[in-house]
Amino acid sequence: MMNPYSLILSLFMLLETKVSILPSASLVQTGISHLKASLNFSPLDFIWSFLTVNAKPLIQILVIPGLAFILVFAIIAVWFERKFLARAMLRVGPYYCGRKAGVLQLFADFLKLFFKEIIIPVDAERILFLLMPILLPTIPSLTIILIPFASDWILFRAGSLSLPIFFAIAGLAPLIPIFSGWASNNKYTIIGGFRAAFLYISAEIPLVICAAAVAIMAGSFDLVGIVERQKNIWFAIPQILGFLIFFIGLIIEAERTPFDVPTAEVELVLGWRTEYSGILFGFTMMAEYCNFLGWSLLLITLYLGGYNGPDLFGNSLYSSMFWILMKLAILVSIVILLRTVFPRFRMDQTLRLGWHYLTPLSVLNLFIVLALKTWGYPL
Amino acid sequence: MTEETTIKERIFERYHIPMPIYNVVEYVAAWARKFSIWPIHLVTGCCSPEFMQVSGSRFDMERLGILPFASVRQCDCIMIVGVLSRKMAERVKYLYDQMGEPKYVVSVGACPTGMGPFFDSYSIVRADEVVPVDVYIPGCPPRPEAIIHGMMKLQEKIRKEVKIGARSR
Ligand code: SF4
Repeated sequence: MMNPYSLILSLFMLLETKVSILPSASLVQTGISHLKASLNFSPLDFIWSFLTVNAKPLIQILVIPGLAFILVFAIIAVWFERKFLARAMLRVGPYYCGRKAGVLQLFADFLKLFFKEIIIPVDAERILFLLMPILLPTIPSLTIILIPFASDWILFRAGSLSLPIFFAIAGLAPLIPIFSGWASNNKYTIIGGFRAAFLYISAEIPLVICAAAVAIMAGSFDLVGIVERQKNIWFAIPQILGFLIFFIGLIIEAERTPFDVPTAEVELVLGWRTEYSGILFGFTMMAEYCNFLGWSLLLITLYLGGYNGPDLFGNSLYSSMFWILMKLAILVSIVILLRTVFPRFRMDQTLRLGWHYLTPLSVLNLFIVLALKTWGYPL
Repeated sequence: MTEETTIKERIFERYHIPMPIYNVVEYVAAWARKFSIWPIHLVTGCCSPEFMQVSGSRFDMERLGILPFASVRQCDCIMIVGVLSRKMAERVKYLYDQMGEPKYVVSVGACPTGMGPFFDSYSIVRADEVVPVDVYIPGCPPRPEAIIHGMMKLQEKIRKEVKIGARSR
């Protein structure tokens, strides 16, 4: 008996191989065999075999570079930031919520925002206003799928296009603060949105030039290739200038504290997210940390050797993941530490930093890399 | 307390969702609200030095999950700290209307609670003449411990509201 459900699924699997998003060469074979098998109807068997064949892509989508990892990162990072800031100010931080050290604080915050009223201003563009916070976390999440977590653990294997695709997707980010600021129809949100756009553009040009220098040194646009070239020496060592520029650019892009002018609490109420209440505000906060995560992972991949590291567990997959997560944790704590130390830059100071200092220095870094390359480094 | 059913209960009855689920949802929501009060502070008077201490290193209010916030849309609670003149009372009402629904008001100090030393002034109003106040913290000025005690009373009140269904209207 012919089963339409199973037929559609098998056609989908055949199509999938053409699009070749999921890295599985044997999908054609399995698709054909499923097509044959669909003549005898047994949906449970079919679903089971579908799950086992595609176990790796499913785990990748749902667990490690995918949904669960991003959510867990956002929750842990916000909790850690609050606790860390409190310790730096000789306070205790969240304490009573949850058994130990306020570990449930972020769940309480999220649930409270979830049960809170959403206010839509009368003057707002309703559809844009509601759409933007939901669209907001998707752009950074799309950049995260390009990052290799191990030599064979990438969700979207874009080959030699992966670095350009990363910047193409990340370049969409300034649109969202502008649109949401415009849709809220409030002077603070509009000013905040335009500030965010200015800031992103001033940071993105040095970032792109630095990434180009890394690609020249590695001789490849492929993120896996770039990581493989750093087996002996991290690119942060010959390109210390580029590394520092990228680090500052990361903080500007992620709107972290020394450069958080779009959401400056003293000047603009909360910048472009002033009008968002309830869970929409929760989405904007999550997007901020997603953005931070994406750029940090790119920094680690380009300069700090990505997943490279000594083999700890006798299993290259686990040790690669361990090393990239360790590096991520250290980088995140350093960026959070900066928040305790520095006051906020003014808008014009930030722009001057981006255009007058970071851009020429990144071009200088490019020339240094070209000189090293002509002298035959790295071999 | 009251006999009449709340809107939420009516919604649950309409879609035939059993009452235990309603109770669990309310319980979880109350737990979350209790541990995540984000107050906006309307600091108008000389209570403010005591109020600043509350977020400082010795009397850390963030232990209870209370995070002072700058924007009113995301907040749950107004803390009226200090003397409330007639002109400022309009702003309090305005702020109160801007907040999303589960919202609370705390009046800190003798002035917004009962006019304090300015009891015979023509231009001072009490906080509860303008907005419904949930917790009064007496003292001129109240000590930081007293302010934290008041916030804990507010947490207790949020927890008890679930049982009597006061906030669901
Ligand atoms: S209660 Fe006392 S300390 Fe507080 S504002 Fe009034 S007069 Fe000042």
